[in-house]
Amino acid sequence: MQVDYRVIGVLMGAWLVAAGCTGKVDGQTPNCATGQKACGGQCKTVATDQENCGACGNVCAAGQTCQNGQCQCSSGLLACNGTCVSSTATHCGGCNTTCASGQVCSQNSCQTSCGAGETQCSDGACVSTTGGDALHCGGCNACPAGAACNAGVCACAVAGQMMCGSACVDVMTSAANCGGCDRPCNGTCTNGVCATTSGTGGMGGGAGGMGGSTTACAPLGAIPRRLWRLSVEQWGAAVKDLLGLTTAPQLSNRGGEAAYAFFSDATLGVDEQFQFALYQSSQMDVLPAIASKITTLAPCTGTTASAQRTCAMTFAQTLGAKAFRRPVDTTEVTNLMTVYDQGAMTDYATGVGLIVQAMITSPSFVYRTELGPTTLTADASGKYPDTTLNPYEIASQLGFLFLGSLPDAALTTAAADGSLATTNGLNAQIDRLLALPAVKANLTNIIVDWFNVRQMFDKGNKDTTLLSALASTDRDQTAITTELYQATQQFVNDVLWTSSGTMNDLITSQKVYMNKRLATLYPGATFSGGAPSSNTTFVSGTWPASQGRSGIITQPSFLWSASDPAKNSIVKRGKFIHDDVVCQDVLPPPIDLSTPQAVNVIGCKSPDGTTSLSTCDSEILQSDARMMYQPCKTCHAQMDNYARVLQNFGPIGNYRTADEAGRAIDPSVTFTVPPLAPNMAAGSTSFGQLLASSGVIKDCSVQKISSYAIGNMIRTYNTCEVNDIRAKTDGTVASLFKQVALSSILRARAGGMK
Amino acid sequence: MSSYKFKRRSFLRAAGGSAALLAPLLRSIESRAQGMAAPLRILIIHHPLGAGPGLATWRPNASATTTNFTLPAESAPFNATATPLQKYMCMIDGLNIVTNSGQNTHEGGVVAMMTGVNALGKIGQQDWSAGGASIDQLLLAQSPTLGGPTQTNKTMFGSLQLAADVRSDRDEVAPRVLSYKAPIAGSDIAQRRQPLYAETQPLNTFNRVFGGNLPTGTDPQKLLAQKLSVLDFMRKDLARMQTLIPASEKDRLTAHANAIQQLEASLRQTYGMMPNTSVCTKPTTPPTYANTSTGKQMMGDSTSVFTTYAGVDYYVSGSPNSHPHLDLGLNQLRLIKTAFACDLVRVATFMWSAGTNWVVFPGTFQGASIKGNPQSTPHHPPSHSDPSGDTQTRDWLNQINTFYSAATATALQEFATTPDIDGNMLIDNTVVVYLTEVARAWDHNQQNMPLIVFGGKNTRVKGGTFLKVTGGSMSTQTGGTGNRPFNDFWLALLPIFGVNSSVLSGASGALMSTGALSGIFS
Repeated sequence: MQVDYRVIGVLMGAWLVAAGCTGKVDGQTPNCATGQKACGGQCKTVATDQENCGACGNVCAAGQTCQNGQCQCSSGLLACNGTCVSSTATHCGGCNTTCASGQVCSQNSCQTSCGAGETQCSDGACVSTTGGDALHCGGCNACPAGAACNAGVCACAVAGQMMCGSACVDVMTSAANCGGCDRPCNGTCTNGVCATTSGTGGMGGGAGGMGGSTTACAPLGAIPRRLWRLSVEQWGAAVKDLLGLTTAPQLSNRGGEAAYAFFSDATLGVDEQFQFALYQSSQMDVLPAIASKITTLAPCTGTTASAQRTCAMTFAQTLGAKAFRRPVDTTEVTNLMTVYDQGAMTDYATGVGLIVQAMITSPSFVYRTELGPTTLTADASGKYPDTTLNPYEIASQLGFLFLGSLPDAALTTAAADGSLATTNGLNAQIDRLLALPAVKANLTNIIVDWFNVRQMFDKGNKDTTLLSALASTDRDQTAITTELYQATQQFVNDVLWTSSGTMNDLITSQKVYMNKRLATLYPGATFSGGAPSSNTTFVSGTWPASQGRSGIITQPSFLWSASDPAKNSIVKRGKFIHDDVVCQDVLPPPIDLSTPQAVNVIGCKSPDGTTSLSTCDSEILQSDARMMYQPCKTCHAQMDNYARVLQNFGPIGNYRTADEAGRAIDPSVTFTVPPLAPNMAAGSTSFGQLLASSGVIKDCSVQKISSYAIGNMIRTYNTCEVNDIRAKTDGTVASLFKQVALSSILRARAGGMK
Repeated sequence: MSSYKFKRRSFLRAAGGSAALLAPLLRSIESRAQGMAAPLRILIIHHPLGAGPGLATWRPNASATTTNFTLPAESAPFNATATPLQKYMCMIDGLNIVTNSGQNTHEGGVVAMMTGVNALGKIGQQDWSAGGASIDQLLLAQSPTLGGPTQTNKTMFGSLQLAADVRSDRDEVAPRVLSYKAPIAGSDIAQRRQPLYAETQPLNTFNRVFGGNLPTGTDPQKLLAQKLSVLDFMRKDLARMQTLIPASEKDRLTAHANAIQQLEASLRQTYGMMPNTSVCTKPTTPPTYANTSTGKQMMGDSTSVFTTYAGVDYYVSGSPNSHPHLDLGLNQLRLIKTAFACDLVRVATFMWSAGTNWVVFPGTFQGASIKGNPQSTPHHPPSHSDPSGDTQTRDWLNQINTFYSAATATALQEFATTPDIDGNMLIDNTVVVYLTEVARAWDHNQQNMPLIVFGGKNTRVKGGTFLKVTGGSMSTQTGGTGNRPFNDFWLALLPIFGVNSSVLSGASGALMSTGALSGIFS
């Protein structure tokens, strides 16, 4: 289904006009709202803007905050000779009070030493860990410009401001940080929304499916020429396909790789434990598995040593090319034959086995090379020219992206005949791959992994009362999570390859797949072909509208994995959706959760502990406190709503109408931050529809799959190369993977130094 | 024990054709037989979450003197073993971890304490990227006695990094890695750091270091030659790749080459067949430890937790008398002990758990119960309960600290009773550092870091001493000043192994130091 973003853009523009905030037309002065002035072509709230305080260009100094249009010393600071200073040994409680030599200033009084719980700073200030001022906040460090010190914690004092880098920024109007940090706006940033004149409308640097101008985007730049270690799963799959095994061997060590990593991390290498695991698996798993099929792998009719050696040489050449994803040269064949000769002292089969062992544990198998032509040479200064992957490397890349394993024969042939180096040839191969069942299965798993569903396998410790709908003998959580995973695979496969194939459908579909056990655990679904009658067969069904389910984020597997054993986790769900479904830029690093202020807010109190909610016995109430009070508010106001809208689904993804404290659930939220502000969602169904209609899910899918394809997480939404891909995709999974595969970031490599 | 006597010809006959392959082991055995000193070793053991607040249950009371002191509850287990360990111990009180970048967390504490330099930065929530090599790797690289890669007489495996558990709050490196190689050049701090991940399964350690139980066939020498030919191919392949890569990838392949070297050592262990002597005996095959149930999450006052990974907990749910976490840890330490005795390594680190310990303990543990609803819970979450308002949970946490002391004492007891090749005991030639990443868990205070050094007669450790640091300018946990920076300890340790302390004090980004702390070593 195509989405006409121009229509959305016009609608957005109309909304902005109705709100009294027009988009900027390049070269014209904007019409700003009451209380704002046009400064540098942008509307600024001069009453509180740190860099335009009271007037354009009036920047408040360190230790000052813009209050009512005037730069004033932050709370707790002294104004001495036009400068804001802390109470220190030279201004102890007053500008003209200097303590005697060797004394310090504690609680505005000269003392011989700081008091208990105070930190002594080099200027003689004694600072409580729960107090201080903007220049010594909770210790000796200063807060960023524009931030105040609140009970020992730095926080931007003004609503709508965020700490970006080392300063408080008005993300409601900042051209460089529109709606969030590092979100450039090539138009007018109003209320955190970026409005341009291109007619594509737009939401500040964020989502919206609007390509917009790329001149304000952040370039990713060419990836350096590099080696990319196969993941544990890729190694196993490659060995299986190379040797025609029935199952993929598994390594006993992951070499630093996360257990359920979304993508193969390109920064990982081979350490001692990983190398040993490679050897051990080759010895204990692979060699026994091929022992009975040597004559198939390396057929030889000759019986003399010489004849067999010839066979082995042919084997080394052909299998080597397949294993290393490129032709092997004569030196490599010679080296492999040296290995064969050692084994042949025993017999032909041992020699062949050693060749296999050498291949699958060697660097050329374990690494994917992204080095470009082998003839690349450095110049006199030692610099290699920028280049692109050679055809065999492209084949390897497409193999591991689409198949999750070695390139197939057609890819290798296309590399050899040069067609893969052409646009038409590349397109043809990608189109061919996308039609293969094995590719569809692999891409299905990639999409499932995008939502971190496999983490469910480490969470087989749910409170068993949540499983009370099942007979006590039926509550094996290992089996349940396995079945939930299978159900999700089938759901995603259905959406992507049988139904519309769109990301919108992925986030809004009411479909579900269940077996008998799951249908008991999650009642309410209807099955047109009859309810599932066994645990081995999954049947397609539809969620009841009353539950408000919407796509993959309401599939039980996702909700299970993003919850605690006995309760939901608004933090986990909210942060995941913020980072990985809405693809918002990384939030500032959180504060120390063990500080007294944080502990108070976690306990549903104000930071100073003087005010508290009547009770703190539910996730919602705890979220209320986090969204209300600093030091938690800055982040949680941006992420909690993404989970609050899913509160109708409990820790195992079960539908509920009351929360853990027995209170009725109201899942409606109003989004106050981009990209979904100022929309409201009545519940998860409308949330899913909003993610679809706004283009957020499509845009985020491009960012995630691009990250997968290059082995590095792209954390900035407004990345130029990603925007280019977004502009070319039509929202379908096929288009998504194709455009990622065709993009320049997959093939361009910076030369580097010798 | 009487001096070890050894006959070269007997060894050669016993080893058969593998004798040449066992050259490193043979050489060291011979040299020892000639009466030369056993090598010094270093073992760093980490326990999580500090000590009891106020330290009254960790350090001797105010009436203690340097040589006359009583260990209170949390450290008393070191004296409760059959061979009391106090005589090998120097307990140090008065060192603070000082960082410039707010690393006063469990995650940051591990990195700061083990490297002694500022972190490169933070990745995500608390994942501090190590800015330098860890102390053990510094020692391995620089010491003329630890058998490191630059020495003529290298040990077979260089160093070991083992752990009983590495689960942590999030999927971060900082809290679960003690050892790092020096960071590589670059701009991506995640890519620059070089963690050496710990092995958590004793069986994998056994297989890699002691040759495991891999099939050796009837002609191990022939098999070894075959396997080494595979490694030769790997090296040639690596050399080919070296000619194609840019400089930014050279460190990666150097590490890979080292990994192949280590694999060769493992293969030699397997097919060379370790000799069994009175000092060096191949250990029995350790069990495989399956993940246990993680039990119920604590209700009510628990803070939000972010990740749960299955692992090996204190007990198996439903089997309260099982102790898999303890057994696993002891097995790892025993493997280190044997690796030292066989001179396969001289440098090792061991973590009982990550800095944010996720090993599940019973809600009532060794007589103390968590306040409220004492269900089984991972160790870390309840540790942020304010002890002034919750003495129950405080006591529960103290019991876990006591548990780790007792478990470590059990292992060190074996070091104290295992003969070394010079006729002394292993502890006489091994410096053991017992440390933790915060002093006080509930608020991450890092003043008066709990720290004990063990070592016998040849280590120069002043055993039986309680070193109360005074005269420094840093604040103490309980008020006043007198403390010194933690790096002063490392500056005192480095020269024991022949390493100039300027290697750390002059390192880029070195944390504060005021000079080598005297009184630990003679």
